[in-house]
Amino acid sequence: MPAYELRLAAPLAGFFALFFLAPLAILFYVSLQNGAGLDLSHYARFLFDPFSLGVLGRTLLLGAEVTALCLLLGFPLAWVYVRSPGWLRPVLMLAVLLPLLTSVVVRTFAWIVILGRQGIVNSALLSLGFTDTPLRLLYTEGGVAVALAQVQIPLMVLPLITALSRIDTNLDDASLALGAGAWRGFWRITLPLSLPGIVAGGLLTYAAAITAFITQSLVGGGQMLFMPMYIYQQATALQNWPFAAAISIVFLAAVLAVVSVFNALGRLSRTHADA
Amino acid sequence: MPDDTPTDRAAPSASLTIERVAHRYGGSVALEQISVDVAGGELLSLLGPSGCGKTTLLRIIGGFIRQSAGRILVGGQPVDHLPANKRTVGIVFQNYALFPHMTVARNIAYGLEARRTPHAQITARVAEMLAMVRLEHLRDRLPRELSGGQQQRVALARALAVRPSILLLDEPFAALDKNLRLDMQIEVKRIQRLSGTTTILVTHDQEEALSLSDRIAVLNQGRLEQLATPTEIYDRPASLFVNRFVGTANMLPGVLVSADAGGSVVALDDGTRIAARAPTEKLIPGDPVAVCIRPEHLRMVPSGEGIRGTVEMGLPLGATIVHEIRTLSGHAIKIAEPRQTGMEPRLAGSAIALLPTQPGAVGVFRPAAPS
Ligand SMILES: Nc1ncnc2c1ncn2[C@@H]1O[C@H](COP(=O)(O)OP(=O)(O)O)[C@@H](O)[C@H]1O
Ligand SMILES: [Mg+2]
Repeated sequence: MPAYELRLAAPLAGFFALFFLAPLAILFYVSLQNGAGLDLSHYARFLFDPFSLGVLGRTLLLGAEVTALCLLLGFPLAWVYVRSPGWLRPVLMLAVLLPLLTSVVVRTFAWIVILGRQGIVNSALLSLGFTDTPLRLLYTEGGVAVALAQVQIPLMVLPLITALSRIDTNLDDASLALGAGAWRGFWRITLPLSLPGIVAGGLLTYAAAITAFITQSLVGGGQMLFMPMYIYQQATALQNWPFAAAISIVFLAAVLAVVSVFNALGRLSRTHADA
Repeated sequence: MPDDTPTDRAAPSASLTIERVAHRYGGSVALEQISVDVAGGELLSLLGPSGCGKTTLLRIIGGFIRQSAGRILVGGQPVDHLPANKRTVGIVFQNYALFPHMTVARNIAYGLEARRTPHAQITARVAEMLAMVRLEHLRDRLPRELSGGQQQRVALARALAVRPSILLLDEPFAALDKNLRLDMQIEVKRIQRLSGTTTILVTHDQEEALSLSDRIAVLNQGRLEQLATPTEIYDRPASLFVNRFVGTANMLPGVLVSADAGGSVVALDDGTRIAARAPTEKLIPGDPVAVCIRPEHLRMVPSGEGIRGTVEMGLPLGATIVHEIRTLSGHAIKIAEPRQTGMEPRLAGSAIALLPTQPGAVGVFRPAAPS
């Protein structure tokens, strides 16, 4: 690689070193502090504490739920977008991006209004006679997952659109002409070829969902504790900076592990698709 | 099951009937009332310039678009109600459309799997197809690891593996470079003969259509201009469009003097009278006409008779020698003659006179509408 290309990357590298690597190193150093000395006791405390592990597990699971929901809702949307005529695309794109253009706080309070005991969903269900007592939607994991999926759908849809529009439409026709039905074509051709988009979109939504502090806290209410809030409480309410730092590092490691599993899955299924 | 095909084993070499098929995209007419009968095992070309409706007709036959009017019959049975995956029509796309994530063998097996063919039969048929297109050694390659010609052979093998009753080829050679194109044309013709599959070849390349087809349907702006054998199309084009689109033609304006079933006489604008074929269109004496003579159907004659002009340029092209002539009335015409050893082009500016070699070589047509 010519030297000038590396030099062009230098400002970014400097930025990363200063504002990412250095704070990370400091964070790690803080997490080792125990009284006067340095040790791994905070890590041990986290890893042998069922409560902490529960919070971590619930957070990772929440990410998986949101990602699955985004994929389920986002794939048809991306598919429709790619096949819609030119004049319709800007309209659809605006609809896709709209969640990103609203403030988190406004959006989250809107969800509280929608999901609350007297909210739109409950009053609709009550007046239609589907239920006699209001359902508990707010302050549930399901409620948090839906609210997060709403804002993170663009993160799934945009990579999917890129992946789907790279697929030659003649492939569909070729599959049909060979006698395959629409479903076989979808499973054997469209889905495997859109895997890069699914993996990219999955990573983005997953990372965004597990770190979404505001939505998690407001829609989840006090009852549901997820990692970002846990870290926040340890750091600010309890002033236990070393333990907060240790949780952060563990969280980071767990996320990296999930991400690499995801990547490996993507690679594996891609090679399997043509095995 | 959705993937089952009722006519799984439709016999190859079914006939194809295109019956008064018309198609409109919104308000614009893409095809008007095309009728073509293709015999079982025949290779028919749809020839025409870009935008004349070839792909549209091909996609109608394949079941990818529904025609606005008319019927398609395969082996005498109407297939218009069948979706693309229930018609036993194989198609090779211009860009081949191989499944990029599947190996050569998996690509070829795809249609057989969709038909729930037993595994052992699939393996045998894939091997048979690989042998037919001579790609046994590449069965485990991905499409991107193949050359253009190899990809095309895979596409052909994939389409033929399911024994389609009709094979459709959409500009199959357009993406290949010239040397490879000739090889692949021979190869496709060989495979088509071998499989005996009724084949529709779409092309805008007249040489390709002439060399490969049993018959050619020439399309122009959605209309069928002529349906005939390659020699008939070349020797007796039915319209000015066909004469100019297939091969080269010199075109001179004139007036029809007389015409009957045996032949006609036209007067060119310089006064020369020429005997010609009988017009194929409805023309009466006195009508303005376009006179078409191919360069190889002209000969030089002693001056005093024939179309007079001067040599503008002479090009010795190896086996032939071509002269570009400017007639006295200002038209540019080409004449091509076999070149004898040592023959040099005539000097620019020399005066010469030309006549058609025979009346049968001169076409008389309604002039093109001024555009
Ligand atoms: N999907 C479409 N919508 C509208 N017009 C089309 C469409 N496809 C083709 N056409 C028009 O129909 C005519 C015939 O097109 P086509 O069949 O693709 O021609 P060819 O294959 O001979 O180049 C052209 O004028 C083209 O612009
Ligand atoms: Mg075309």
